[in-house]
Amino acid sequence: MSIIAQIKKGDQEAFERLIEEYKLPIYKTAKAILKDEDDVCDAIQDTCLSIYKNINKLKNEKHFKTWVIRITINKCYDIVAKQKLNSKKEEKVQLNETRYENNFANNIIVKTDLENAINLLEEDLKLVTVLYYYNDMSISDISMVLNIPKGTVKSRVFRAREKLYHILNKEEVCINE
Amino acid sequence: MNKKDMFIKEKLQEDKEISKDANQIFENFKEEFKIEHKEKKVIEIDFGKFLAVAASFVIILFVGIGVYTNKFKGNSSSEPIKTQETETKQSFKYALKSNSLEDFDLRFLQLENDRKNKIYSPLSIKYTLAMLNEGTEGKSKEEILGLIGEYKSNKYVNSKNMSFANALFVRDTYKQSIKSSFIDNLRDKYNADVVYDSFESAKQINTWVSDKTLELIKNIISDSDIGELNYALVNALAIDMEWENKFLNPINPEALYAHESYYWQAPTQLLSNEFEGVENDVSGMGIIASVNNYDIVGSLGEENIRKTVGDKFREYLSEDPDGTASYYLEGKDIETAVNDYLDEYIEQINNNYKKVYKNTDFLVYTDENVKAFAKDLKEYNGTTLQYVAIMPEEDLDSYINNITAEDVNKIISNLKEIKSENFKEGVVTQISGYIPKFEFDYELNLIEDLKDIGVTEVFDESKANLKGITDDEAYIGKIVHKANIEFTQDGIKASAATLAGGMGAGSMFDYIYDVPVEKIELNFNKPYMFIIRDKETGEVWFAGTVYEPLSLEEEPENQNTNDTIRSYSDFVKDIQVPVS
Repeated sequence: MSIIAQIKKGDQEAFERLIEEYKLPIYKTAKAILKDEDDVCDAIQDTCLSIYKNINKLKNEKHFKTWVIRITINKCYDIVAKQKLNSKKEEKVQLNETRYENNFANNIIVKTDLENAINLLEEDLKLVTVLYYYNDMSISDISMVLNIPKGTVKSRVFRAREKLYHILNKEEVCINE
Repeated sequence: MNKKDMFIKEKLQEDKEISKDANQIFENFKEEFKIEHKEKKVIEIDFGKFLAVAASFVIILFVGIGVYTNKFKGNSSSEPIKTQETETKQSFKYALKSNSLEDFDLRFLQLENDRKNKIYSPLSIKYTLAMLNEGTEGKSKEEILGLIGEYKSNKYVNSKNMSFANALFVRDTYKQSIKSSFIDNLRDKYNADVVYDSFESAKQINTWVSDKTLELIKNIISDSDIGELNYALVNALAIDMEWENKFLNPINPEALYAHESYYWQAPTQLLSNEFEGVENDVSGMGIIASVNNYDIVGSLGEENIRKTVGDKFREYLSEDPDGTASYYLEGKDIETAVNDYLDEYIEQINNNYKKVYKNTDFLVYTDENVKAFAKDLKEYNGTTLQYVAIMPEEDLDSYINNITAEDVNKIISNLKEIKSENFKEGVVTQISGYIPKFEFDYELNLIEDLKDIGVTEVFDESKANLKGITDDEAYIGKIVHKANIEFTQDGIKASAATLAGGMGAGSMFDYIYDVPVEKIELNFNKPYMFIIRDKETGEVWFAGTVYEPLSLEEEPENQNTNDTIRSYSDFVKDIQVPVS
């Protein structure tokens, strides 16, 4: 029996395993869209609740991963939309963006991990990168989940790969120096 | 996997941590699942189909004098009142000249303007009056006839989505007292059921009503209500209809037109909620549309565009031919790559002109005084109903006090479909807004309201003339008109068809043209009125006001997984209207 079928039957352990399996993809997807850690947590909370409430309605289990990611993205966009209404938060977002831009301009990178490098990418590349690398999704699944043409996904992955490689390599050089 | 991918994947191994707070949420969640599941509260949420679901019910309870005189005493609406000349004159003011929207339909909004969320059915009221007219004589008939005037009772075909029914319930022992001409008229002209019942309990009436209102109105009459009743006239009407085109989720605000600086701003929450008594976010449906009537190629000329964009592109290709530019070159020489790019560029920008995007079908009208939104429901049995919402700039109370059918009809006739020819040339028109959902029921003080518009005698114990029904003395003791409505969408969160970028938006090189944008903001963020009308005849099925819509907290989670995965081409097909 599949893990989803087990959950539908009320199997507690199966649900815990599922959360374990998907917590990183959910977290990284939310991080790609939202800058504030509190907002990321809100999005995770909403996402979990939605999955929990709706898993019984899921008919085709092979779409589970794209379904989870779709929900995560929707919840994040809900938060982004709310933020736009809130001028204080808007300022905060702008501040964060400025900080990243400055970092990029001065090549001062505090951490050397991939996450920081992803933060330096343009907005349209971030999400595709996380889905492709962290979530191990295929070009065609990403195209489906974001509703954008495969060609666009491909070109975004291409651009992201080039930039990430460039940024991460530069960091290594800096560290080695 | 190529070298760069391997390198990134290696880095990824170092980045598998999630924050402590986030982890805690996942852990809490596992716990919560345990508790919730034991209580079996979960997953049994009904997602609703939605749509517009509304039902209305009018029952006239006749009181036979001498048998039942005091039954409804104490109920203010049943108090006999004196007929005055002035009131008779008023009846002509609201006399119906046609079946379409008239002052009569809006009068009840005015008469009950001190009450908040309202819903009633003018159609039900007219139909009931028409049936009652068959049973009245003398001045009682004059009053009713004066009011219903030229109104023609249409017959409607019933189905599981639409129910329209009439009935006369008669106590078994009273069977002989009801005139056969009245019964024949009801059957012939109004398709009415005539039901004989012992009246020992209200079960039969309630079952009939429940059945004819698609189970939306139940247990309307108590056993004590019918205890000594001899007959009752009933009209029941209900709709359970889907939108002709559902609302698609317009969440992602990304560029829609390739090479144009235009962004789709889609609201997911109602902006600046001004509804009293609804502190939290209001639950509703985002609407969005854009009509691109800005012809870049026509205004700048293709040659000019080819030169400007071509120069920039050439520069880009020569700067770093082994970098991202290699994506375009693919072994071609620079001029071939430039020409290929420009051909595609011009084609895309030409395609954008006259393009219409929308997340659902709707009609719009705005001026300095009102904002109006309309949307069709599916056609059922040859009838297409349309929902029309009108939000005045001023307070709804004072707007309604002065409203006339002429005002509303003018707004309706000015509603524009989202089509290229209906919007200004030379700009991109962007329409965005939010329509709240609501759900409530309402009981109209129908006797008092009818007295106001000139029907008085039939309620007067000493004057009522119901000789068309029976030769026994009788008057109308009570009328109950109840209606309810649930108004929402077909799984907006569910459709989840986020549009993330149009074709070409992911290109690595782009030259963006500024486009003039005119915005129409259509947020229904304060009290408004609505009608649900027959699109063809203009007949008003329901009318009401929304002062307190549903808040997000009241709304069940509406995640319809069936629709979650959709192909891009399906989505584009749904939102795009072919250029005519």
